[in-house]
Amino acid sequence: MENFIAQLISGLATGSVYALIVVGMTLLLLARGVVHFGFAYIVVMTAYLGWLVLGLTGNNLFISVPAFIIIGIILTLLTEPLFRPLAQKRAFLETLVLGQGIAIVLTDVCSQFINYGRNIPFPAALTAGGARLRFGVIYFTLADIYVLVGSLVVVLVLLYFLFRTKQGRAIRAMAQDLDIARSLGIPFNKTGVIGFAVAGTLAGISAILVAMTLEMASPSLGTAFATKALVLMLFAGMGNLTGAMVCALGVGVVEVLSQSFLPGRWTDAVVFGTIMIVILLRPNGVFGAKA
Amino acid sequence: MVKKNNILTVQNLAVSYGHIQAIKKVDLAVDEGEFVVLIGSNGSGKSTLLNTLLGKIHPNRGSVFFMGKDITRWPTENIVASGMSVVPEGRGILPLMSVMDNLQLGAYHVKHDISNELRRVFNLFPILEERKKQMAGTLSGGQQQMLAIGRALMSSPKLLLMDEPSLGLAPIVVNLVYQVILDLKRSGQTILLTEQNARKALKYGDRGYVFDLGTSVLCGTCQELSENPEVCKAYLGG
Repeated sequence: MENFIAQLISGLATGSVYALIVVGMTLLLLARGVVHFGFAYIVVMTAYLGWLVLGLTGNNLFISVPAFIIIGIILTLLTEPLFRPLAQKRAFLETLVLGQGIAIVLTDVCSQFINYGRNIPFPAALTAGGARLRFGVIYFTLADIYVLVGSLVVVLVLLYFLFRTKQGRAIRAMAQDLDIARSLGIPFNKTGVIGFAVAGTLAGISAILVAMTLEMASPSLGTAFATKALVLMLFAGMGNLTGAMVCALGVGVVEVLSQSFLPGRWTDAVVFGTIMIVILLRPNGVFGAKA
Repeated sequence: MVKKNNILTVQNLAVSYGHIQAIKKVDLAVDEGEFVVLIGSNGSGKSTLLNTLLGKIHPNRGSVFFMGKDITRWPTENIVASGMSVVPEGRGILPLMSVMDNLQLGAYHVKHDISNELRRVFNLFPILEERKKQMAGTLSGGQQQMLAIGRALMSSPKLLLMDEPSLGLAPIVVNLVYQVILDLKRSGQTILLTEQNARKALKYGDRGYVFDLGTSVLCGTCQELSENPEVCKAYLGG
């Protein structure tokens, strides 16, 4: 039983990372009406570059943690002008192709130029090195707790931004009706850029959390995250923020649990198989699409 | 030569969507405190004119002067920021956002605290205050129109544009809406309004223009227009 609860926490932590990535992608969907398939790869690239910063600064967290976030913002903002003309025309298929292109470029950079394509290990300074906390008879890793609490704070701040600030309102307005938003004088370019910048911040934070939960990163991680994130968005209902978060947490838990109870390669099959069945039954997603 | 209290001047305007010449030649002016109406049937260019004024589409000939400045090539956000607000055709509210959200969006370009503007709108439309947390899509047609007007007022606009405010509303609601518009005019608001419902527009407006196939064919005081036999035949049911 204790084992189960520890697994549950671990699963929730993993799920939180997926949740943040999906939230970032959903934000971009709201801000620009695009599915940014390259976003998860930006998270991985940020993790790689952050790893370089850690190496260069001798694992200095005061420099590296902000660096992760700044790198995430810069990388995401760099892709904004690429998506802008497509966003104006609401060219859905083209955005998927663009996202895939970004994905290929970023994966190649990671596998050709950084650490000779080998996996990169993250130092204990960042991951709390497997340190455990004990609560009664249950052990959790410190990293998992940081990740859970951190994600929760980030999500709450993001929700505050979206629902209680002028810019957040503007992003939601543009997502609902571009024409009316325009008539209200909401600036198309500036609002989209702000959306990308906020998503970039999420990318940076996600990169840190990936480092903490997995303690490593590999070039193929981008594909794993991107696929899961896209599937999660479809599964929960496109644009449905809270639904996506709940589903992401669920997937995280299912993943970790099936890893311990099923032979290795079956984990993905269980996760995607379940999702497949649900989508067949409810094509609009479990919670329904919004926007 | 633009007069000191001139709010809007449109000169020799021509606007096309691709190959379709939606506006062939329009000249008009609105001075401060005036309530000017544009009447004309569907497709006569009224909505195109409002979209051009807002900078959503750029003319291929002619110019638009707002508060003495040439705004012909300005982007929409700058035009709205300089004091032009619109109540779009069909209300144009954001149905999935709350009443309060919609109102706050109307004040997107307002730099100062908006509690005064909110108070003013709530005094004009108490029902909006009652339902401020409700999703705008759940309001009735008339209430949505109130919301759209309230939203446009949040920025204390120098020029309020209204695109067919009576469209899709029951007659009793239309009367209410025009009462509100009249009150706004009396408090000094400059208004430019388009209508297919010529009767209502000419009854309440100061001056009017008649649009036909993209051209402003007639203008005069609303009194003159409503007595004009051609106008009567074409728009007022003989």
